[in-house]
Amino acid sequence: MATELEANDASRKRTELIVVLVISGAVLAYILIDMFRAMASPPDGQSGFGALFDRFMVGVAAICTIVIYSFLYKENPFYRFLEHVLVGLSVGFYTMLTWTQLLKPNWWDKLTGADGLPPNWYWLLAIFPGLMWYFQLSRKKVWLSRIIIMFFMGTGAGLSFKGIFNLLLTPGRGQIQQSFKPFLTRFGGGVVFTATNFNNIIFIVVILCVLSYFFFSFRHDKIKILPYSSTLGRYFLMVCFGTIFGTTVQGRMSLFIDRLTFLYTEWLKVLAG
Amino acid sequence: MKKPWYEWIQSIDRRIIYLVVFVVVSLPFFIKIKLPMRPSEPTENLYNKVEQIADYNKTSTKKKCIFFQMDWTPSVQAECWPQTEAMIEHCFMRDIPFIIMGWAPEGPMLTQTIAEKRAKEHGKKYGEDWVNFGYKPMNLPAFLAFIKDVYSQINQDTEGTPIRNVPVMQNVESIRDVDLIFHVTGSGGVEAWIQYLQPETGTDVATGCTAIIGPEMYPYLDSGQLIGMMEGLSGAAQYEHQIGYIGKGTRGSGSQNLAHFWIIAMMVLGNVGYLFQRKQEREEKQRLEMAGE
Repeated sequence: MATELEANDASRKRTELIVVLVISGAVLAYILIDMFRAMASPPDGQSGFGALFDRFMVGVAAICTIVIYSFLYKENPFYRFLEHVLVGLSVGFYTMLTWTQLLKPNWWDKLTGADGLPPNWYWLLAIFPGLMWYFQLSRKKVWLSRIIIMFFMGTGAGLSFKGIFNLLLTPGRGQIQQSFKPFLTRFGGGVVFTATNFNNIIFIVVILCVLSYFFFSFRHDKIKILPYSSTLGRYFLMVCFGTIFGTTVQGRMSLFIDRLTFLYTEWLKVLAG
Repeated sequence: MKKPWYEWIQSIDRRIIYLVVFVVVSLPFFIKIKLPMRPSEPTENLYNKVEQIADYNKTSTKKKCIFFQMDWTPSVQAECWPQTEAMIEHCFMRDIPFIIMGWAPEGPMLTQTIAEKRAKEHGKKYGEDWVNFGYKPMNLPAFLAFIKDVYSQINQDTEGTPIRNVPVMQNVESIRDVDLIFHVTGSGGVEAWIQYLQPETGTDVATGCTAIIGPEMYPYLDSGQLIGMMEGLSGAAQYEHQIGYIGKGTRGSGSQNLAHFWIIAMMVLGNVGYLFQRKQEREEKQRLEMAGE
């Protein structure tokens, strides 16, 4: 039995290897043909070598796309390699950006004097609070990092409180104010019940039920209606989470569609862009 | 032993499902499948707001502009690119100037690429029709200073021109001269504008967001804190439909619709299989209990 399973496994691996080799060969052959075809007849305003390089880069992007999606079949070393390449590229890219977009214009240029401005050596002082963050790495001196974190936490908390109050209480648009919705609408000297009012009732019921689910100040069975409203609240929450899950699937599909669009239009050119 | 259908249906190899997804998503690239498109209310509201700005600009010497806060990265470009492209197309069509800025490094770069691409077709020029502040990482105090005085935080555009010398900025003395903030994001952040800018200036805020965070935006739409929204690829497709432009959103919507049909079908079949299996197990249990008695 064990030998039969091993034989099946070996046969499957052999088939997989053949399929991978055939696909890789076809992909590489297409990229080479595409590159030399582009070099032979480059688009207007581009040199032959430029066109060849452009198509080479498109080919690399296509290989990366295919290899990353190969994970859907099963985990493999090519996928793992590209995953690491992506992480490495991101770190390199963001390190470069931190210097060129953040530290250089905001600190280094001011310190050394750029664009004809005199150097301002006071900017050297900024190094010390910056370095204090790194005491997180020392068990003995970690208290030094807490001093600088204290300033950040204090500023952040203060400003966030302001933001949250604005979000909830801004006149005319605040979340709390907008939660008070009319059950009836004034019309021609009287009151009528419209579809919007019906919507508002649903809105209020959902809010109260969900709030009651998170009400932990005393036992729910002490007030007769609470067990029912909190159960209903749980169902409403589940509907909400279901919606979020659905839109997540929608998002993932969009990513896949985008990659297929790239493969069909830019790489294989079977469709017009 | 042959598996009963309800068990078989629940144990279809996931790779077969992926393969069918691949086929289903590929189909609309080769066969034209046209499904009716109806813009959602948030998308329609956003469109109407932009039209309102365009109408105002027609009659006024001081043009109002739109501020593009571009906080998206290549990982979400499938959804955010079409949204940004649709909005830029609308701005160019209706002659509305706009400003690009981003708290994510790649957002302003990619938006600039889109703007340059679309500008060629509309005969628009950088500096006269739009300006790019680029990647401007801002913590909260810097953001508050930016709201109080744009020029205190931004000196130059991405080309190194002092922003006071850029023609688009001649009509912008402060952030109050911006009539709409359009925040495109894959991970939230639009709240910053709602919390700190809107209470001070009353500026309208709209978002283009990935479908994943779309549901989180509805409370803000309901309260009027967000004036409109493009949600995911479908939001972009709806907006393109409104402005009469065929872009990535419209092209991708056929694939998305078919993929959704397939996913719904799989979910229904899986659940039907599960219910039948449970029913069978219950009946089996009852039979065994009766036999035991």
